[in-house]
Amino acid sequence: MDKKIRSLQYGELEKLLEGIERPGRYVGNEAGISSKGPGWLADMGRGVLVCLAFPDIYEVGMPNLGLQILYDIINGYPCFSAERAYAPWIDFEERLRRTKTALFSLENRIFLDSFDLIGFSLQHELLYTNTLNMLDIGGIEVISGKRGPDAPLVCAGGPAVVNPGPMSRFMDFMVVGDGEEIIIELLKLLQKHKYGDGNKGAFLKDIAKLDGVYVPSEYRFFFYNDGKIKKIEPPLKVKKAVIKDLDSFRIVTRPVIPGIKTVHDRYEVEIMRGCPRGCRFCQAGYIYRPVRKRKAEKLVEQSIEGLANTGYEEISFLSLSASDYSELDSLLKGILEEMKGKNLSISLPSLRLDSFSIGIAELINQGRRPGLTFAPEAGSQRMRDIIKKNITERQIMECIDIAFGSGWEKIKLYFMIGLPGEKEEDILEIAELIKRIAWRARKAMPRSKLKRFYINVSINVFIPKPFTPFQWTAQDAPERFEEKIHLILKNISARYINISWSNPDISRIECALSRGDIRMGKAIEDAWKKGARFDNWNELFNRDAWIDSFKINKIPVEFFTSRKYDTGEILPWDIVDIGIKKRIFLAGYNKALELINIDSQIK
Amino acid sequence: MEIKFRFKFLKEGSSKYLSHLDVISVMTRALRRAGIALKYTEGFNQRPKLSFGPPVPLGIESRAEYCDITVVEDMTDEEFASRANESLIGGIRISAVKQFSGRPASLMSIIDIIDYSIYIGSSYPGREKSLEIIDSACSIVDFKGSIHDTGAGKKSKDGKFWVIKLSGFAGTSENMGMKVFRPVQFVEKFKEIVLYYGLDIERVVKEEAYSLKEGEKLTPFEVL
Ligand code: SF4
Repeated sequence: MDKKIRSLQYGELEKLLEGIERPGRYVGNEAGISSKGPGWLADMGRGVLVCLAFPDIYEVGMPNLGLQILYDIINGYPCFSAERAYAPWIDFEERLRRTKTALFSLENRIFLDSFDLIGFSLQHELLYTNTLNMLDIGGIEVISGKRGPDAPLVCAGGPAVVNPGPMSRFMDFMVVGDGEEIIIELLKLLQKHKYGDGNKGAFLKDIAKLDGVYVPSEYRFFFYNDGKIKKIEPPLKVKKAVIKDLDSFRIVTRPVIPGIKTVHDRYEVEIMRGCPRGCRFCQAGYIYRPVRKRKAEKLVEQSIEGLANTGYEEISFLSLSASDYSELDSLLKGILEEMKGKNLSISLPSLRLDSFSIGIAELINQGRRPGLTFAPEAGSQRMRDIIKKNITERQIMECIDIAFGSGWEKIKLYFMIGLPGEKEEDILEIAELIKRIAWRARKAMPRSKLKRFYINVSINVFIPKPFTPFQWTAQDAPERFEEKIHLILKNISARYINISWSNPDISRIECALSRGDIRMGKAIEDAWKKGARFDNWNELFNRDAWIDSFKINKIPVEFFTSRKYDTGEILPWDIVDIGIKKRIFLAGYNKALELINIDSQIK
Repeated sequence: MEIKFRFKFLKEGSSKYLSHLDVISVMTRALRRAGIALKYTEGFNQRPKLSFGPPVPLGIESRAEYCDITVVEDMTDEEFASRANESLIGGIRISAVKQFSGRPASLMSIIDIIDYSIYIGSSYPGREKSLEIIDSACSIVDFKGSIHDTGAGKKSKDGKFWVIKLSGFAGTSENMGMKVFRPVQFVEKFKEIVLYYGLDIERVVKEEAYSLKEGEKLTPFEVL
């Protein structure tokens, strides 16, 4: 398995970058790089070389905390080195292909095919085609079964592989759950095989026994004529990898700091993993359980260290629901106390409407004030009950009073349309709620600030996702979404309200991919070959490529989207034990159906 | 206590791919990492008091970027430079520092002339030919009146390149009725000319920036 490591010379890179948009994406001149240098690479000993790949552009991928965590952990070991690679933008892809240059990592500009292992972070399904594209530009065969013994091992982790079916065709293995512990176990085994029998198959057999590891070649799927799954062999579930105590891993205090501007230029710190709320549409709310929190005291100490190491002026406390972090108050106070006079601003991206208190408003207010984001998700109380978004309009309005009374001028609201049981009234209620929030906010603000008042509304299309109580429900057809979006737009005209919405055609593909099975792999491959990539970029989304690809592969999109799945059928993701029993999801589903029915009986 | 420094820094290697906005945050973070207490502007959106000279265009290296800064702690010029340099990323390095007082005109407003070196990948092509090439460079219509002076080309120290020096007018000279020199566009056109002679442009470096005072070229340090 020992092979020569090939890399790109800096002079060559300079030539490649002539006329390329945002060349800083590709040069890797960043503070905080911790991968091993050329000396180590020349004489690795029993070293293992990993590429952490993020299939989106640099500016989007850099702020991803998961990748930074793994990078930090791997590079803490003397015998392992992790480098990073991001998806090249289309102009650079074209340049690489035209000059027959393979995609390379940022640190030592190593061509992807020279790595021992490439690990993709898959945050959503619309990054599948980019994943294939990166492998291909990197000089690696995309189909796992066709890769030779010298090719790198390719794996993926992240929420878009909790249903490992669709990417099974391309991945040697996938990791479900927390990566912190398992990554080192995997690398140690890889080291053993690389310098031992040199046998990839033997390595895969070994790791298949570990919690959290799914090796597609170990499983076979059988189907009925109607397309449903008949059985999965062997019937053994892969248990999600879970770390018990977050505090047993320090936060990343020396992250890589981008040189160019990214989507979130700030120091990111995870305060809690998992969410106790269990909103019925929300995959994150289930797959990251159990809820685990870091201790505020340690967070303060480590964050201060991280701020000193990075020089960031903004810190962002990440969690799925900051309001459920019981020590929020002492965390904020602790940080502000330590950073007094050092110009720090704090952001809490997941703060919920119902817990936005005067105390917290004042604490965040001491620094610079980032925008507020709130997600009521639905306009009517009926709908919020059905999806279990436990928040009342009164709570929403009280928070609006506090926020706008204490200096905020902008707010971003998230809504979702196409939810189960939704009626026209519920859609109209979204428009009404937005208007009521705007009215209330303007009333609470000082008059002098009214000019600057602004509401951003983001309307998302509901996608039933695996491992949620709504995993069985049908998705609305794209035409229905268009009507619903127009209905909202028609009812709102204020100049200070800006509404954006997700493309229903794209959401339909995302739905098919997230609820798909192993047969989806060929469709992904063909769509990519027909030019699909950057599928979540509206202007690049290639609808025809997907439609054609589904057609030639005889995959009816409706089967995975507008179809209500049977609660009795074997689901493609049944192969994974996410830590929550199916009957819990079923109970949530039935409760929602009950609420939908009660309501229609009354009417 | 407040101290004002004017400093000069290099932007070499791959740091040339950072835009001016990127450089501002890279510099700010590096100074914060160095633990240097910066003075911040008052008001709602507080920013550290950094004010830069005209930035080198993206993609061109520089040995003469300038910046003024106010710090709120006591330190010498050397201390400032060495602490900052320990935190800066590859390619960006502070090369000279000078303390000043009072309120001199901003760097942006005083720089009139910028010198560039153009490295051509070849040995010296001989006096006659080199003059011919420089001549055609200066007569590219789009740049007439924006290049103020060119020295004759000479060999680089390592003998690998033939280096042409150019002086171009900076943004401020617009007020004096001169055309501003745009190096990126110039290099594109100039490349065609040198290619015709079988040569190629390997590197462009901003060498120095000057203020014009009564016909005399003064560096931003000399102005203070
Ligand atoms: S929507 Fe938010 S609050 Fe609800 S389960 Fe998901 S992460 Fe938790």
